Amino acid sequence: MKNKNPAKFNIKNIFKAKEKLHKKLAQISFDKKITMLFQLQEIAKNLKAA
Amino acid sequence: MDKAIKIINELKKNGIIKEYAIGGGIATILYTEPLLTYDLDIFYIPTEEREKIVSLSPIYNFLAKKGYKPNKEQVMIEGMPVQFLPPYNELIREAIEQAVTVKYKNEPARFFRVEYLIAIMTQTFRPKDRERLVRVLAEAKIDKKLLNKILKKHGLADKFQHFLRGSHEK
Repeated sequence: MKNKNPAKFNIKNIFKAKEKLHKKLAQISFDKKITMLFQLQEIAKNLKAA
Repeated sequence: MDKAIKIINELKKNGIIKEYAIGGGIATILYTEPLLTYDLDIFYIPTEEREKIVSLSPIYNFLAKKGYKPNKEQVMIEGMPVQFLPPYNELIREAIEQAVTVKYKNEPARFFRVEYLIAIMTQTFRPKDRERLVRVLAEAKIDKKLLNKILKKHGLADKFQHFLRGSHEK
């Protein structure tokens, strides 16, 4: 059996996923995030109007 | 938003405010995936701090000359609702002083460090703060040593640990 301790394996996976997310977020510039925010605001506005 | 930041930088250059930093939702976005927020929270240190009551008049007068008028607690600057907040405690003052500079569309702006954002959210602890705390803790890169130092200094360490235990139990 590969993973004798599933709890240990899961924690390792969580740290890996977090690192992956940090790298992904680091690639998105703040400018791009604010553009996405304005899109979010537009969607929220349209949802309210619907 | 770049035009609003430019005007805020002008406030500092003209000596209307001593220092400022962006907090709230917009600052949170610097460290996480975008979340829905509408206003730009500007925490500022006034130039003159002789009186206990801080007046917003110098800021509002400067903005009025440029055609930006206040509406309730906000001022609409180039389509962006901006709220000016003086430092109401030592944690906020320190967060302003220790802010980091990040450019938005080539315009430099000062933002709260993520460790101070976490401490402020722990202190204010409204439902939206708790919601954002969960996101920041999951998504942001945090200097844990600095965070612990800030939490301890401002008497928030126990509250933060209690929140961590609660959010893990859920």
